[in-house]
Amino acid sequence: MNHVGEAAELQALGLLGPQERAALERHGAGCSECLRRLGLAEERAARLASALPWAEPSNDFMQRLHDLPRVLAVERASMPAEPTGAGAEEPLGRAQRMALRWAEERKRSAGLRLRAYLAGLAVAALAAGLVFALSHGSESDATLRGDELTMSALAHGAFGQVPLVAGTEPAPDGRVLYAKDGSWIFVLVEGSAGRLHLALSAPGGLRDFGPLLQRPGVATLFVPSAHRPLRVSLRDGSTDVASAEPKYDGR
Amino acid sequence: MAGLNARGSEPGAEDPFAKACAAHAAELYSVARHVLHDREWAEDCVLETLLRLRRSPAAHRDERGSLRAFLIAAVRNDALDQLRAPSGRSRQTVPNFELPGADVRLIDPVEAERVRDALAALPAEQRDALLRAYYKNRSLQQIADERETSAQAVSAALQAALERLDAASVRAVVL
Repeated sequence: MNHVGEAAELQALGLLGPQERAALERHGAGCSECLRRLGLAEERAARLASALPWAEPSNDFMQRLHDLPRVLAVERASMPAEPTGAGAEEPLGRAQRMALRWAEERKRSAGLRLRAYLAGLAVAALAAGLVFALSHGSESDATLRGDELTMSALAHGAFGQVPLVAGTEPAPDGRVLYAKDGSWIFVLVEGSAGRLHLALSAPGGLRDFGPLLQRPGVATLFVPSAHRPLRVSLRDGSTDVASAEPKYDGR
Repeated sequence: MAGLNARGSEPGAEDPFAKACAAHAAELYSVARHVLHDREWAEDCVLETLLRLRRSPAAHRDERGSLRAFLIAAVRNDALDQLRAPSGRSRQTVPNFELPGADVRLIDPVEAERVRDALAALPAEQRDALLRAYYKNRSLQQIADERETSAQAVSAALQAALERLDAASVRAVVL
């Protein structure tokens, strides 16, 4: 594309759609001049935000914000092993490599990539929790207990799983893992999810969470603030290609 | 990018992403709340945006400039996407929004006063376009329709308005 021009101001003011913004970002990634222009427009627009009314976020929001790095650590730990160059180091080090190697062995013996991936997820989550606990010794006991509970929910089965049921053919083969209290959703699809989007249905309506993250051999998406969706679906446009209905505690 | 790159942090080291989240969380939430008008929806929007940015190692580079401004734009754009999506929970906007008075707590009262003065100094056409775009959450086409002009004319007015706003700010600092 050409240089960003006045699209920089439109982007900063919220007047471009997702595809137009993505095109700007792609251009900005390789054009320092345009990247600086995008930044300048954002800086100018951010001044306008100063005059907006202050809204106090809830304690729940702040706690979930505090947990974001751990959510991402679990996500990274759950990624299948990728070929790495000599001397390359994975983010979580030896514990993660052991977990992933274990998952790989399971995969070879069972011949079921998705099942191995699920098993690897639990071990990797435990590994992530261990690394986190070791590296945050100075945090308060209450905070640490909360983080350990989060990891423990993943690692010790305080979650359920249901298969995705085909709505159309061909449909992806996959599963939905979910917290028993409905607080998070983790979707895994074997192979490629292509352009399918994840959508969660709740009494308040349908929400689109965008495409799954494609990893080697599997596509995933973790939604940390799911709020007990009644139905989890993979959609191609407005068509449900596959869906699942989690069964939470107390329902 | 120095600001948000998760893989750049060692276990136990201060996480720049977490630091940025904590520093700007309430402000980002206020921005999302102004668009979505729903506490839960706005909170989810902010968290989803921050997760999305963190997953993308190249989301922000230092040469782009202010991380705060980048985060505000990202959250606001995502909130507007959700508001404008066919599956959005509502299509509500803020038809009669005016800049709040002194009795309302603002994100940054001192800067808000400068913004108010700078807005007042803008030509009426530019001020109106900017108010509709940023404070009333209108789309480009909506502004064009409401003002009975073209989207191109609105776009040009908005670009000029932001540049004048910046210049007014520089003058205020010098004076």
